[in-house]
Amino acid sequence: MKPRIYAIMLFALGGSLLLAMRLYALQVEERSARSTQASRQYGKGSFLQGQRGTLYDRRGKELAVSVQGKRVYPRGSLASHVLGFVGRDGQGLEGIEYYYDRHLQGKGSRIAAIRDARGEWIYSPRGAQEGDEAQGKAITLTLDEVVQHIVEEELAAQVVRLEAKGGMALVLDPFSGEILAMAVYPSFDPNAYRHVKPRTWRNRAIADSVEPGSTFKIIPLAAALEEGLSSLQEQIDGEGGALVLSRSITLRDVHPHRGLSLEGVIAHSSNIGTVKVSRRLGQEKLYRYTRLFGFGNRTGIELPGEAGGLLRPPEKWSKVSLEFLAIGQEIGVTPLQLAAAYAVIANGGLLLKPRIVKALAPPGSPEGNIAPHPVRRVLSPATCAQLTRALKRVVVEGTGTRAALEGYEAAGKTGTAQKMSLRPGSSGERYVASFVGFVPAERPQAVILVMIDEPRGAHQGGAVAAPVFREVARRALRYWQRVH
Amino acid sequence: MRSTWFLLGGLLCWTLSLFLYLQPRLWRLEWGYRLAELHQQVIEREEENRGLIAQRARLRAIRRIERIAREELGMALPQEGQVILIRKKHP
Repeated sequence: MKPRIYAIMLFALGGSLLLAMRLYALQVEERSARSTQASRQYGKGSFLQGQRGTLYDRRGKELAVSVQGKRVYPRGSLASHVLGFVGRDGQGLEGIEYYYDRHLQGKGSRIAAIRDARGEWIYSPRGAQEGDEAQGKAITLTLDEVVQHIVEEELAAQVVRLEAKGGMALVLDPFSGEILAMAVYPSFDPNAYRHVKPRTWRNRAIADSVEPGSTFKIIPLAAALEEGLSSLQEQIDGEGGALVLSRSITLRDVHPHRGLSLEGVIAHSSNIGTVKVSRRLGQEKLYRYTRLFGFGNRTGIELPGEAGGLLRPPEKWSKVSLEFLAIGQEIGVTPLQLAAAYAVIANGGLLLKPRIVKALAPPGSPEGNIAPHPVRRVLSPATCAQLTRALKRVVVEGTGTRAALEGYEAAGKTGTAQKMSLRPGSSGERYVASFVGFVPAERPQAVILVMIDEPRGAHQGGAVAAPVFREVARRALRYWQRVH
Repeated sequence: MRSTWFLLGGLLCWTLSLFLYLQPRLWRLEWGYRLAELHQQVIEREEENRGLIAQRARLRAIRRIERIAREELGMALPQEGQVILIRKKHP
């Protein structure tokens, strides 16, 4: 019997020894590798993707919402160039979505949890480990859905009617710099942004530099008034409609005048009158005032891809650059810069930084509000009052009569700029027609800019852009009467 | 006899200790499942809420309302002359 017991004992001992060795190997030698493997298997801690913050208009209407990890733009193409869009990986690719991507995107959170054998989650009582930045934060824009809709509708109707290449329009509060509407046509649906060509995504209201033409004339004339070099009543000789600038260049007025007051020069958009007054300023002052109005610099709007425009310093000017700059040529401005410059006249002389973000928070939140940002004083209130008087005359009897609306006085300026042709052999008969102004002329509620790119048929700002200004102003004022 | 009582007492203590040790762990497991389930429900409700907000925003979109007003209800914006502006007289 004894040997059999010994054999069993030996066998048991041997087995125990083997088991102990295996345990040692698993628990001690391979400990870290095994525990990593185990925690991977258990799925210790579950990561929850943070929800992207909602985008609101100034009245709390949702413009972009995240649902099941997908970005939804419930109002379709409305304000698409401002909102931008989000890529498949949840990264903002254009517009506000891009500019404030980090603010909008939540960092996500980690939950203390493991998976059981069936793969079900078991949370630890410690629960969600959420930080302040787990969820994305909301943004309230300065845009107003209704005004934006009005602007987009009127702009699109005119572009289609005139078979134009496109158009841009802006509505700005001159006393706060808040952009109430920013529209570019053609627009696109950010829910299906891939269905259009990438060039359609471009926010041309801030990214394109265009030659402003006659809308720019107000800058040198404002400078001349501010510097006391002229007055609204001063009679200026019209030179019979032709002024020789150099041997090969003669400046002409569309409607020749023998003589006009400075007010008449603005009202009838006289090239010759503007040039004659601007010459008194000289290169340095003209350049200085152009810079003071914000041209040649980015406005600093919270949107990606803003252009600073094109403005050469006087040392790079030719002999006729002063004259050409005075009538809005040899300069590139963005529509936003031009609207901000007219806001200076509308608000009594202050250049304000244009803003598209009202608050980095949901509407009504006491935190995150962004205050108006005055950049500098450009003109005295007295000069602004004189300019407003002249701009009112543009609408009453000058080049912008089609901007006149019933019940309100409007002030503004027309512009028609011929586009430079880069393609050899092309006719060059391409224009940008514009109108920029403010309503009501006294205590303005809005600066409105309209630019129509390459209209067919009529191409003057007064015929093409002024009617859009009128319709936008008429509908927006009626809306504001109800909501204010 | 005394040793039997000791044995029974020891066994009871051991059972009690085992119960006290295991029960909180079982509760914790149970609540862990419940917590996970509730958390999932919260996520689902939040998603549903966001979906409803998006749907409400889509339905309230001014472009849609205007289209319905024009095309389905035959309404039109008042033209110039159809609106009479009455100015307040300031004392």
